[in-house]
Parts: sequence; C-alpha cells; structure tokens
Amino acid sequence: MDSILTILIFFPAVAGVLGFVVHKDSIRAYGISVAVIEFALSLVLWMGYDPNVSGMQFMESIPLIPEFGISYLLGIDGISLFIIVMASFFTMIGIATLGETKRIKDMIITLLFLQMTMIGVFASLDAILFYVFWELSLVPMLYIIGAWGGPLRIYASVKFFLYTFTGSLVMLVGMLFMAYFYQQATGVWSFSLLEWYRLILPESYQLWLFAAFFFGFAIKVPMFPFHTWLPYAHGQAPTIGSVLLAAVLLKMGTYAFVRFSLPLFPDASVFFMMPIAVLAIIMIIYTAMVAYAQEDLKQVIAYSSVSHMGVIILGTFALNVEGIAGSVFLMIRHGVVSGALFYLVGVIYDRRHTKMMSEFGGLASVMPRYATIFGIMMMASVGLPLTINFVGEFLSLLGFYKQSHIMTLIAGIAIIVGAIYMLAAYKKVFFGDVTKEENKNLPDVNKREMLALIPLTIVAIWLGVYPKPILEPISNSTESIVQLMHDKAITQEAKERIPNLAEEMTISRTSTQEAH
Amino acid sequence: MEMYLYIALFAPFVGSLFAALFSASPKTLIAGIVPSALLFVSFLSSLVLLIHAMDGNTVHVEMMTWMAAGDLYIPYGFLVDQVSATMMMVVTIVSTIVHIYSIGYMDHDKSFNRFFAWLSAFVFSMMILVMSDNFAGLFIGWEGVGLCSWALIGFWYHKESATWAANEAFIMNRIADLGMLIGIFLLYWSTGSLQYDTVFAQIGSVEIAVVTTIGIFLFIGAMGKSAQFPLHTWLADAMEGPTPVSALIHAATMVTAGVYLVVRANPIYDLIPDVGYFIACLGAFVAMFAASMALVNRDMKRIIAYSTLSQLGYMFVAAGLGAYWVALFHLMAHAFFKALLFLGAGNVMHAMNDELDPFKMGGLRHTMKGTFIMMTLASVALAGIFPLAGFFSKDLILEVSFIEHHYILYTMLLLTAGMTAFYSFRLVALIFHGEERYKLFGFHPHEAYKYMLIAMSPLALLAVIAGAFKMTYFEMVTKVLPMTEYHIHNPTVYWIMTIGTQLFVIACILYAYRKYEVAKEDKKMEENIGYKILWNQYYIPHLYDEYVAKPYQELSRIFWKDIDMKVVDATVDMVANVFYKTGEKTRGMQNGNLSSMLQWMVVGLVVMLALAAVYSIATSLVAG
Amino acid sequence: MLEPVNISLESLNLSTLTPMLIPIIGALVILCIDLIKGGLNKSLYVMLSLLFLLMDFGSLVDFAQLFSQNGTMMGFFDVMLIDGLAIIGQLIIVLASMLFIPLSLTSKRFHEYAYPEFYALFLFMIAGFQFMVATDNLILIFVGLELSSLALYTLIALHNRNKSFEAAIKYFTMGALAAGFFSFGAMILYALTGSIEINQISAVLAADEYSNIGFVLVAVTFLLASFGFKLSLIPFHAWTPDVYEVSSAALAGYMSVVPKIAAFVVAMRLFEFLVHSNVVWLETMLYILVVLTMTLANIWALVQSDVKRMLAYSSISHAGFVMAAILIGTTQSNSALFLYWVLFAFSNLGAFAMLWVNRQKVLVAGQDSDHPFEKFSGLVRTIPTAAAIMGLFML
Repeated sequence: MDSILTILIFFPAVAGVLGFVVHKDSIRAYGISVAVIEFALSLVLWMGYDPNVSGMQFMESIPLIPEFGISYLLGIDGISLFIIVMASFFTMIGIATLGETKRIKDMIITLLFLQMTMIGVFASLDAILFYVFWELSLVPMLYIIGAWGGPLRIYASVKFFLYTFTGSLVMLVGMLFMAYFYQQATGVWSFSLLEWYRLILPESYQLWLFAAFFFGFAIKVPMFPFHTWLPYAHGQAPTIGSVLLAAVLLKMGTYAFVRFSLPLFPDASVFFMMPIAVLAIIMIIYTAMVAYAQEDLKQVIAYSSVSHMGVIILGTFALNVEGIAGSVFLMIRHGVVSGALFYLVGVIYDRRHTKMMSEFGGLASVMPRYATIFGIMMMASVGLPLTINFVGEFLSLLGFYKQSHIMTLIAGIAIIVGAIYMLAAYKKVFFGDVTKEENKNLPDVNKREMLALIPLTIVAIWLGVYPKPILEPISNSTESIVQLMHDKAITQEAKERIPNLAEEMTISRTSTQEAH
Repeated sequence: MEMYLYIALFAPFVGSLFAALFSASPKTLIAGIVPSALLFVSFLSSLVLLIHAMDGNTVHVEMMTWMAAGDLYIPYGFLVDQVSATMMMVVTIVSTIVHIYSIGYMDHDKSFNRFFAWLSAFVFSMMILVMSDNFAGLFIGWEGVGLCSWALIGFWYHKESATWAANEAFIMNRIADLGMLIGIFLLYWSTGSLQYDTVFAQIGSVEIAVVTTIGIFLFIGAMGKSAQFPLHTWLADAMEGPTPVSALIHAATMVTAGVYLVVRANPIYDLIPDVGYFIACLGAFVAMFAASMALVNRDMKRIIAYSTLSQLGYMFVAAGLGAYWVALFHLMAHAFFKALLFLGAGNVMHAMNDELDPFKMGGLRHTMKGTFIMMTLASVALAGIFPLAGFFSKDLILEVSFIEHHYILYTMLLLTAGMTAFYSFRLVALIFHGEERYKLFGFHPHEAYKYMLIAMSPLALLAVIAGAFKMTYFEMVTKVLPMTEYHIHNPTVYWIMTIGTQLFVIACILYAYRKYEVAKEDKKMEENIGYKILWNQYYIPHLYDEYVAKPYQELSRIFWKDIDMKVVDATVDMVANVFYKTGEKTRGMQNGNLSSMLQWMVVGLVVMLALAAVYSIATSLVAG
Repeated sequence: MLEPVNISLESLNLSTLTPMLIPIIGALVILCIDLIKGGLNKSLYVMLSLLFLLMDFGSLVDFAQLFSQNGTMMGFFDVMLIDGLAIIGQLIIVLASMLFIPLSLTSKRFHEYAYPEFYALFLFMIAGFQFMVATDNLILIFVGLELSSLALYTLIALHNRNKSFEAAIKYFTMGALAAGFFSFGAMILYALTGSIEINQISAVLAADEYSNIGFVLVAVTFLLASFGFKLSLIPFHAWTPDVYEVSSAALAGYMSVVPKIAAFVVAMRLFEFLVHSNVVWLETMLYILVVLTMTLANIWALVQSDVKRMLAYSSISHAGFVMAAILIGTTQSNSALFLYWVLFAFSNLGAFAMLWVNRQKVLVAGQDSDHPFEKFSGLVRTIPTAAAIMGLFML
C-alpha cells in the first residue's frame, strides 16, 4: 500500500512499453486487462483511503535533486482521489470499447501513456513533478488528435499544443519564482507543495504569481477568452480523444486552481475573485449561447463543456467549503457526463460519419435505447436534481452566493441557457420524423457501446442520488484547504471572505449539542 | 406509519420502473395495469396517512443523507402533515383515475408502455415535491415534475409542435426555477438550513428586507410552475400532450405546485404582507387575463387550459391574502373538477378523431351521454354553482378578498367568475348542444369505453360533494396553517353577496347558452379589435417569439460566427501568425550568402560600438 | 649583473598541463599509427580516442580532488588556471566528447569516420577547448580558440559534400573575422591596462575606476562580437543553420554543445567582472542580445521546414538562455547553468542522434503527416528539462 501511487502511475507506462512487443491481434485484450488492473488498483486506493483524514495520504517522497529541493513527492487527498479513480475508469472504458480503429496498437499504447501522465498530475505534490506530468500529458493527446483526427487534425493538434504549452510556460515561470521566494524566506530550495503551503507571501507578490499560475491554468480549463482551442481539438479528435480530453485533461486546470492558486495565494484569490467570476459568468452564458448556434452536435457538447467549466471556476472561487467542494464534485460530474456525451456523439458518428444535426432527426424512434441514454445524460448535463450535475452545481452556486448575490443570479442563468441548447439539440436529433433515408435503419447501440454507457449512466444517477461516498472526503479535504487559506490570509478582506472553520466548528458543535 | 409513507411514496416509482422495463417493446397491457394498481396502493396508504393526520399527528422520517458539505446538510427527509396529506390525497386520487382512464385512452398508441413509465414517474416526483421536509427535496420534485412534464408534452415527439411546446415548457420553468434556486440559496445563508422546521423557526430573526427578497424569489419559482403571467404561455401550448397528461399535470397537480409552495412557506409570507398583496394582485390579474383569452378561443383544450390558469389566479389571491387554507381548499376542489373536465374533453377528442375545434362538433349529447353529464357537472362546479365544490371554494376566495377590504380584487374576481361561467358553458353548448355539425366533416363519434367512464365517476362525485368537507378540512389543515376564519358579520351583506354572485353567474351561463346554442360564425364580432387581441392571446406569444426567441437565436449566431470565430479565435491565430510572419520575413538574414553574413556581423558590431559611444558620452556628460 | 632566472620545475607546476597534453599526445599517436600502417579499421581509432579521453577524464577527476583540497592553482608561468570553473568545464567537454565518439562506430557509411585524421583533429580540437577554459590569459584563450576552430573547420569539411566545403569556408571566414575582433579587443585591453590576464585587467580597471570607460567599452564590444560568434548569438549566428545542416547530425549535435561550453566558460570569466562592476551598458547590451537570441531564434525555428535547421535554431535560443545566466552572474545561476548544460548536452546529442538514426525520414520531411509530431515530441523531450532550468536563470 505504501507505494501504491507509484504503481498506479507507472504501471500503465511499463505496460505500455511492454505493449510494443504484444502482437497486434491480441493488443486489445492486453490493453483491456492492463486498464482493468489499473482501475482495480485505483479502487484499492479508494478502499485504503481514510475519508476522515483531511490531509494528504499515501505520501511518497524520494529526493531527486536535493540541491534545488526537487523531489519525487506524491500524495493524494479527497480532491485528487476521485479524479484519479475517474481517470482510470475512463481509460478502462475507453480501451474496452474502442471501435475498429486503424493502428489500434499505437492507440492503446498511447492511451496507456496518457493514463500515466494523467494520474501523475493528480498525484504529484512537487511542483516540478507536477509540471513534468502536466507537459507530458500533452504529447499523447497531441498524437491522438494528430494521428486519428478529422480533416483539420494538424491545425487542431498544433493549436492545442502550442496554446496550452504557452500557458504552461508562464505557469512554470511562476513556479520558479515561487520556489525562489521560498528560498529567500527560508534559505532552502523547495518545490514541495506542502512546504509552499506554509509560506505567506506579501499581497503584491501573490498577485503576480497568481496571475502567472492563472494564465497556465486558465488556458487548460479553458476559460474565456482562451477557450478557442477546445472546439477545434474536440471537433477533430477521435471519440476516445474527446472523451478523455473532456473527462480528465480539462480537470487539470480546475484541479490546479484548487491545489495551487487558492492555498498558495489566498489574498490574491480574494483580490481576483470578482474579475474571475466575471470571466466565469461570461464563459457560462456566452459559450452556452455559442453552443446553441452550433450545427455540429459535437461542437454543442464541446461548448457546453466549456460552459460547465465556468460553473466549476465559479464554485472554486466561492472560497468556502460549499463552493469548493461543489466545484470538485462538479469536476467529477463533468468528467462523467461530458465524457458520456462525447461518447454518445461518437456512437452516431460511427454509424453515419457525420455529426451535423441537420443530417439527423427522429432518431428517437429508430434508436430508442440510444435516445434514452442520451436523454438521461442530457438531463444530467442540464442539471436535474438526482443527477450528478445538480449536486455540484447546487453547491457551487450556493457557495458563490455567499460572495455575491447578483453574480450568482447571473451565473444561475446557466441553468436556463444550458437547458435551451441541450433541448434544442436533442429536439433536432431525436424528435420529429425520420427524414433522411440513411437514418431509417440505423442500428441501436450495440453491446460494446452499452458496456461503456451503462456504467456511466449508473454513476451519473448514483452520485446524484447518493453523493455522500465521494462528497464526504472531498468536503473534508476542502475544509482543510479553506482553513489553510483563512489562516494564511493577510488582508482584512480576505479574512472576511474566507470563512474560519475552526471558529464555526466550535459554534456548530455547541449548536448541535444544544439540539440534542 | 413510516411504512405507509414509504409505500405511498415509492409505489408510483416502482410502477414507473415496471412500465419502463417494457418501454422498448410494443403495447403490453400489463405495463398499464401494474402502475395503476400500484398507484391505487399508494392512494390507500395516503388515505391511511390522511386519517392519521386528521388526528393531529404528523409523520416525519429521514431516509438518508443527500448532500453534506461544510455546514450544509440536506437529507432525504419526508414529512406528512395535514397540508402534505391533503396534497397527497389530491395527487393520488387524480393520478389513479387518470392512470386507469389512460389505459383506455392510450389504447391504440404504440408507445403505450412508455406513457405509463413517464406518467408514474411524474406521480413519484409530485409525491416527493409535496412530501419533502426541506426546500432542496422540494426542488427535486419540482424539477422532476418539470422533466416528466417535458417528456409527456413532447410524448408524440414526431410532431414538431409537441416537441416545441415541450421545450418551451421546460425552459420557461427553468427561468422560474432559477428564481427558486436563488431563494433557496438566500434561505440557506440567512438561516443556515433548508429544513422547513428550522427555517420557519428562524425566519423571524432574519432582516425583513432579506425575507422580502426570499419571498419574491420563491414566488418567482412558483410563477413558473403555476404559469403565472408573464411565464404563462407554456401552459396553453402544453396542451399538445395527450389529454390525460393535461388532466393530471396541467390541471390537477403540477401547476398547483406553485400554490403549494406559497402555502407551505406561509411563515415566510406571513412576515411580508406586501409581497403577499402583490401575489394576490398578480393572481387576480391572471385570473381575469386568462379568462378573457378563454372567451374566444376555438380550441377545446386551450379553453380549459386558460380556465386552469384563471383558477390558479384565484388560488394565488387567496394565498397572497394570507388565507392559505382557502387556497389549498380551492386547489383541491379545482383538481377534481378540472381533471374531470379534461378527461371529458379527452373522450370528446377520442370520439372526434382528435378534433379540437368545438365549432365542428355540436349535439354530441346524444351519442355521448355519460361524457356529457360529467362535463356539465364539472362545468357547473367550475362556475361555482351551489352546492357543487366550486361554490364553496371559489366563493370563499371572493369573500376573503371582500373581508380583507380589497374591493378592486373582489370586483375583478367577480367579473372573472362571470367570464368563467360564460366560457365554460360556451364550450358545453358548442360541444353537446345545437346541431350536429360534425356530420359535415364526416366524423363518427362514439362514447368512450365503459371503464373509462367508471374511472371518471369518482371525480364527478368529488366535484359534487367536495364542498361538504369544508369544515372537516378546515379543522384539519389549520393545525399547521394559520387559522383565519372568514365570516361576514353582517348576514344581510353575506346573503346579498352570495345570492348576487349566484345570480350573476347563472345569468352568464344562460347568456352563453343563448349565444352558442346555435353556433354561427359571428363575422362582425371577429373583426372587432378586442376580439383580435384576445384571439391572439394579447400578442404575447408573438412578442416572445419576435423579441426574445429570435433575438436570442440571432445573438447566439453572432456570438459564434462573429465574435468567437472572428474575434476571439482570430486574435489567437493572429498572435501566432505575427510570430510566424516575422520569422518568414526575417529569415532572409541567413540566406547562406557569405558576404551578407559577414555584413550582419559587422552591423552588429557597429551597432554595439555606436551604443557604446553613446553610453560613454552619456556617462561623461553625467560625470561632467 | 643579471639575476639568473631560476625556473624551478616545481613552480612551473607542469602537471596542470596534463589534461591538455593527453589528447594532444593521443592525436599524435593516432597520426603515427596511420603513418606506420594505413588502412586500419576505424574502430581502432575510435577505441584509441576513447581511451585517451578516458585518461583525460581521469586526470581531470584527479585535479578535481586536488582542487577540493588546495583550492585554485596556477601553473606553467601562471598562465594555466585550475579553478572550479575550469575543471567542471573540462569535465563536461571530455564527457560529451566521449559520448560522441562511439557514435562514429555506426554501421552507416559516413566516410569521414574512416579517416584517422578525423580522430586526430577531434582530439586536437578537444585540447583547444581545454586550453580555452583552463586559463585566464587572453593570448592562451586565443590560441585555444584557434586550435579548436581550425580543427573544427576541417572536421566539417571532411564530411565531403559540396555543401560542407562551402559551409566550412563560410565558417572559416566568419571565424577569421571573429578572431580579428577578439585580438583587437584584447589589444585594446592590453593597451589600457598593460596586462593580458583577466583578473589583472579587472584589478587595474577597478583601481582607476573605469576612467577610460569609452575604450573599455570598445574593447568589450569587440570581445562580445567575437564570443557572440562562437556562441551563435544573434546577429552573429548566421553560420549556425548552414553549418549544422551540412555536417553530419551527430557532429552538429556535438557542435551545439561542446564548443559552446568552452566559449561560455570564457565568457563567464570575461564578462562577469564587468557585469559586477556595474557597467550598465554591458548589462543592457547582454540583455538585448539575450532577448533577441531567445525570441528570434525560436520564431525562426518555427518556420523551418528542415528539422536539423530547426534544431540549430533551438540550440541558438538555448545559448540565449545560458547567456542570461551569465548576465545574472550569481553563483546560483552559474551552477544552474552547468546543470542545465549537462542536461542540454544529453538531450541535444540525443535529439541529433535521433535525427541521424532517422536520416532518411527527415529528408522527406514535410509531406509526411507524421512529421510535425516527431518535430514536436522532439521538442517536448528537450524542452521540459531545458525549459525547467531555463526559468531558473531568470531569477
């Protein structure tokens, strides 16, 4: 159990290397078994996780370059745990349900490498390690889009790469400065996040560093106005690429906000809260409207995923437990629902080789099962209670409401515009009469596709009905972050904006005692 | 008791799942029978709970945690008190009847099984809505009924108009839901909880301005579900759904959820009489506004829908004026006779091959005796003639407004009562009396199945006798609701009012009969400007379409094509291009020509020398 | 009566010369062997070179131990200087050379590797670099520079394609100009201070508080231009892409690493005292050069269609990063510089070697859809480490 994180990270990579010698006829079975083992390992991780501890668990530390304080430092808390589980879950589903693909061997090996980088990002507690995984994750994705993508794949992949890469360079500079400040303050170099947490920076430094980190994260999220690479990437990527991109890779940005920006720069977070909230709101409403105007079903989902990321950002910058826990929960939900929706688009794309909505219509009678699952996922995306989205959206908005009433009211328009484009798209594709001859005999979802969709549907509903198993650890870990922020905050405003849980804890304890 | 509670709640859910199992296969009778039976079970459990509640007991259970983060704690908690027991009764009675009725009504539909899956799912959502013990749980039901309503309005999804109406209903409701959600947020941050009991216990200590805001936002939520102006357009369009759906969802249960919310949140609204007054005014306005549209409409179901809208207005008047129990009473009575009316209309539609224009019917009382009797009964009840249910509940609202000295409201409501009587009997006259115009159009009407009529009969019975339970009911609900009795102290005034109202209403009925006994197209009237306005529903749908939907669509397109592609993305590409172009332009520097290379070196040197010279001169000057 | 000049062999500290002498002897041995019996297989020469380099390395390690005990040493009429910088510079040079030499064992036919002269020249070149880094005498630096450069020109020309002659000539011509710049700059400094030893120059200059600032600047300008050439800073970089393109990939990779480290060490010695003496102009100048080099080179790299040329530009831009370290001139940045350069040496040699292995593929580059990925995955492999350390200099 002690080195389970290392195993989780490098097992797929080693398996990927070994995969080169596996014959291409049996590579699928090989890939599936590796992914299943990996997923099982992640479940073991979950089982071993103690939900009552709010700090880091499964820590591993090996100094790499002690002179600069760079070490191989791993650890997870409630926030990263579930994203890791989700990453391995999606890779498993992705590999297991991979359709007929050319060069399937390359694809599976790439996916395994991608899995390594994804898990690496979420398990790293050392900034340099984090950065390395962060950058490495671009490569397999680039390859997936570039090699298996649509007609514009080169443009899309290069754009994806350069854009995110530029952002992360700026972030890297920020990290180095952070290490430098740490060295100035303590005399020792360190890139360990846990050490950084202890550093209290003057507000002006915080602002600059926050901005540098923000740039890197915002492009990854992607936040308005840095979002334009995403529709291209999604538009061109093969289904599996979109699924993983939406489900896991985008989470890196929002996760990094929670992991880096908030606890490292509490004052700057408060300072930038409103501007970021404005961006988030623009993102929510604007991209939702753009989504409404789309003609391509996949682009609708792509823009919708940007729009939902806006809610996540908003929740994160609520800076209280409700909001942050909500946004972390939303990350999970965004993974499940967007991943599923992209997968669903892939299903009809496989059949008709087009994603234009005008090519469809009336599919509800031709493919009833497909329509049902799509309907459930759509409703989950729209944020109906008892689906996974609602819990997160509710908590995020609830959290932000504390900070600003008006902003939340505007941001809440999300639930209206979200319904508009989703229902409109659903109507175009599924309702009406079947007009196109080609659509009359489309086969419904087959067994292999069901294999991917059923678990996702179950998760989407299960976590909506009973989110406690994952909400509780998330909430616990979030509490420690919020408390840390409160303790670190130096400006008066920040102290006020970020709740002091220690105080509340005692109050609520007394009040519960009274209640008893 | 807990067991009954769970049975009442989950029986429809099980029924829904059962029907859903068959949803992909062709019509299976059992998929209709099992949910209906389960609903009946649910009804029986509700009855047990009601009796239990009548004794002044409440049942409160907490099933499990739903959400918990930070200080927020929301369980799945259910509460059966007198108010929710009433609602449960209404819901289960009407829905059981509608289910049974639907077995006949949907007989020939190929999506028979799917229909029952959704219909039972709706009942389940509605039960959650009324039984929840906290606002978040209420919101679950709130959205759940919205979803089912969407699916059922758009049930015949191949029809463009149906799917359009479904989406409209959902989106309109969402707009209101946002208000509701904001109200919930505000409640949480001001009282620290969403449980009814905690919230109501603490609401008194919250600033009155905040309470006002809460009240307003919650009411916005109610406006959407109960289709109050200006979010009313969806209700008439929702008539695209199958008629049983209209009866259950868009008359008896879902649309009254708004009223239920206000009644449930009575401790909040008690604190803010100004908001209450506004609610009452809006209610009175809607009552009249909707009734006026019903006067001229030529679509049977839409007329009934407008009438629903109008009656909801009545309920809001009562609720807004603080007479919560009256609102709830009218809600109940209305549910019975309105569902009956709709189901009757369903029979007529069946008979007329889904024809909706009453001008193409006439004289149907000969072929459809049972339906005729029931619809007339329902209309009489709706018009509020003694001793039917409508009389007790609707007149009570008039009295309330009178006693509270809101004479303008009273007048409006009185006029509306007249209009109600008029359009109800205009409909009855056109459908059942006069010449048999349908023959011209080649219809062969027939009476509905026997068991459909039998299924409807309990409703008819209730529409007749529900008023008799007024006092029992009053004693029961005032255990949780504010006990406000309304008695006009001066018996003369009371009798004048009551008899006057009755006479006025009867006059209106007679006028309607006279005018529409022989249906003739009144061209002159149709050219009247007032008629045109009413006929076009005050041009509001047109307005929404022209000034909301279309601009939204256009704006979206602009955002995408012009802003996203041409500004945001182009900027990014431009930045990249600038680099690229600079590279392209300046790569001439290393063209492989030796002399130019040497030149560059020398140029670099010279430039540096020049800078050196400048610098040294500068320093010497500074030093000097 | 003249004092008899007693030069004790002891004080000469001849041993300081050993690291340079070893490759020279090696080169001579190789030439002799060739004279005695020609036509021997290249593997012999490879192994011999490797052997001598190993010995060289061993002697350096020996010095490193001495240095850690005794501190800085001077030797051979005090022209040799053995300090930390010299040792680590030489270590890197020798190590990188040792990595390079086995590459010539490849089964691919590169005829230049068949010539024994190739190995002799190679060893001479290394000796030249070692001289450069292990002294602070401007004349000796010059000698080392010329020794290595001449050897390098020939090595390039040995590739024996038409274009390589051309490139070698170009390189040679520009190198001659740069050498002229260097000697001119050194001359002015000598005229100003009467010394050709860097630390004495700085001492003298500091003593009269840079009163002749104008002349100092002129001298520095010339020196800067000459090192700019060696380090391929913009605008003295024009030779780089051409030369890299025509030389064999492995050699190009080698060139992007080893000559530069030598030049860097010299530049560090030369400019650091100036930077620390608060000559604002120099700082600005270096700053401009660094910025120009980093940005323009990257931009040009972007528009290249040939991967080798692109890597040439990328190595130019890396040179810019390293110059930034010198500009900042703290111990921290210097140690980071070496760390960086070692990593860079590996990755760059690796990248070029990869090109070499995929030689055919690269030639048809441009049409193949796979091409951009290789291009980029190459970059990523080089850059995360490179980029990670690069940022350190910015501190």
